[in-house]
Amino acid sequence: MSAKKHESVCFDLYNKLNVDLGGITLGLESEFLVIIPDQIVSAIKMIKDDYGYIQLIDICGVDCMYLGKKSGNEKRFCVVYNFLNLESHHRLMIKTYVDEGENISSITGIFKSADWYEREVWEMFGVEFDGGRKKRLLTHHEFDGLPLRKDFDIQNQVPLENVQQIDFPERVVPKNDNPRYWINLGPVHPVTNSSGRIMIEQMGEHVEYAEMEVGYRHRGFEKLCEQKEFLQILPFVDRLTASFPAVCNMLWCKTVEELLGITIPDRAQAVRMIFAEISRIFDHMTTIYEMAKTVGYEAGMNEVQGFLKRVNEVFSLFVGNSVLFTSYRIGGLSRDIPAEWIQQMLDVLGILTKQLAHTRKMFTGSRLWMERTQTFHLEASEAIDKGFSGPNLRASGINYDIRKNRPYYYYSDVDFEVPLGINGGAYDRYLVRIEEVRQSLKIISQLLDNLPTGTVMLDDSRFTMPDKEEVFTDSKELENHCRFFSDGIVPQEKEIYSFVESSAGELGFYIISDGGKRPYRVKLRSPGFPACQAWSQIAKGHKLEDVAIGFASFGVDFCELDR
Amino acid sequence: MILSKGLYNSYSYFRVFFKSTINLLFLFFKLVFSLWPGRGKSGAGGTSQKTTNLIIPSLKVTKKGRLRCISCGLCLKYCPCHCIKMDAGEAFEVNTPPDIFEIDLLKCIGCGYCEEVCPVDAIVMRDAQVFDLQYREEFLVSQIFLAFRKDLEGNKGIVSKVEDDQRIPIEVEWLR
Repeated sequence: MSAKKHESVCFDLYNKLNVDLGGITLGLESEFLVIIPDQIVSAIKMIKDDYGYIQLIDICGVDCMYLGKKSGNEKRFCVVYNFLNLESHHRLMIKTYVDEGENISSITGIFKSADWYEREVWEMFGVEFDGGRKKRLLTHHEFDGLPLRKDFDIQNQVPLENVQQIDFPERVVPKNDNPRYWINLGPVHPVTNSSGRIMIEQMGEHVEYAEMEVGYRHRGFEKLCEQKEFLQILPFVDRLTASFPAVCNMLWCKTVEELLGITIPDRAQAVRMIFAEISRIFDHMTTIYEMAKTVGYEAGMNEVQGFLKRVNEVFSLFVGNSVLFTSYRIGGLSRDIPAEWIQQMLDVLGILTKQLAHTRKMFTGSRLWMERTQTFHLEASEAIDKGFSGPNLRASGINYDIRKNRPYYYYSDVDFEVPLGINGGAYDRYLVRIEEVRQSLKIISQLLDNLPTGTVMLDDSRFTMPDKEEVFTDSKELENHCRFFSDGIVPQEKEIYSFVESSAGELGFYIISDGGKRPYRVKLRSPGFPACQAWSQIAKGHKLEDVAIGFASFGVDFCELDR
Repeated sequence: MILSKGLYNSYSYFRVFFKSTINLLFLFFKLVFSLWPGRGKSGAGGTSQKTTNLIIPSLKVTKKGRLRCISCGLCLKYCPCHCIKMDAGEAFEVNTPPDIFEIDLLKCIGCGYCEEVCPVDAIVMRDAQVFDLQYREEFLVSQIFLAFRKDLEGNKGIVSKVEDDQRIPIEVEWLR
């Protein structure tokens, strides 16, 4: 259905706008349209109004310095827009090629959430957007240089001294006699959880204007990936975030496997799902814990902490670590789950289900909790426009879950429901999360009952490492082992966008491979990015006491946001 | 405020005497052992010695007592934090152990990828008790610590499973 629709969109656009299809075949495999930069605004407006691609997922910049010669394109930069149709659940990617010094018109008039994405492309590549803001986002505001360009000197060190001013010098303030007051939260503050800074201008006890400064944890993950081989990136993806490392790692392996065109064994798929769900439980409960902390509901905090401890215990029994899940490899898993662990997990699942019922009772019916969390309401249209995804979108009543609508692994076979909120407030976000925890427990118990048999690692000497025991004694295996690790994995020349439903929303990897050992460009679509972006619009007019609970309810993790 | 006399009656004189004697004895022994040389806090003015438990890559040895490592350099390549330093000397050959093999404990994150990548069983993740490290240079530990420290079967080191006779030499072509 979606392929047909996609074809019709392409055909219409081609007739109306003279879109250059660039020799790309139509179909689900390559969902790219190439549009001239002059027509980008009219094309995107048409896509939004006539075809229902109402959510902007991502904007990604690419430096085609070495890529352009191969594809026959002479222009230096490429900007990739990624859209989602929430009715047919279809995705569309649009490309424009621009040269150095050439400008693209900004699409912030059509999609408000394009602002930060465009700023990021501007600061990383130097592509200028007409009508877009020119303010550094992930890097320090005094930093000079365009980091993601291919000719950027990594040794270039810029001394950074000054802190960003809180009084918003660019903001135009209407002249009145009222004095202006500011409040600073962060960068290290219990509300912001990890390193992020909320700056608030107050009017009485209400928020007049708010802004968020991110980038305190910017590690240059995308630049790092360009210099490493596919196998070498695994430990970095592990440490991308503390909230859902198991999902990040799974997604990286899934994307590279799709790039290589391999399917992993059934048992490995099921085990990956189990740990993704445990990770989801962990992150949802942590978010609820943070919310309880900001409200000051200590009895609830203790209750959630007990729950988390139990989840952590059973997680670390197999993994060894308390948070990181290091067993994912390209082609499956490095080791199988033992039978005793399955038995223990099934025992714990019963206890967890009982404990969760108690926790729900403590929170859902609590008067304190209900009254304090009736803030930060998001309407459905607002949530879509601001680019929210995951539980935050579902809390506003929109039925979109990647596990249901674009199922990967065995999500089409397991039985679970997608909880939806009504009002879109912090209370709804809590309700959706705690119900999803219940559904996750359900999924895990179904998977453990019907766990497929077989190996967890693909048996293919091109993509997976040989068995370690045989390497020591067999000379052929030893040669394979050495060659595999010194050559690495070499995928075809291809680009791919792969995405999964993480606990905070849609997490996606966009990888461009030029047929070499290393990825040419890696872009992480982080779920927390739109929530932080929309913060200045959402927070306006709310009471200062509600700011903390409002921010905690979005479940933002700065680690994966800053990359 | 005394609520009831019954609370006091529950402790008999004998029990109070017994308990206080035990407490006194316990305090006495604690005092004696704290002054014992070479344990925890030494006398006046001494600093407390801190120990940290780390899981670090440790080296295996052959039966003759040499390093099992064949200096192929795969662990160097795959270490995500560049904490391994290896110098194979001027006469570099693949199948001989390196002259210098060092690990920076401050940089190591304990991911264990070096163990997985190693083509022989030369490197394994093991616990290590690290005593009282204060300076930056002290965290750079050499192969003597990595292979022959006390925790690893009493200074003898872990002997690798495969014997020297069964060992297969690696060709340089395989490691491009």
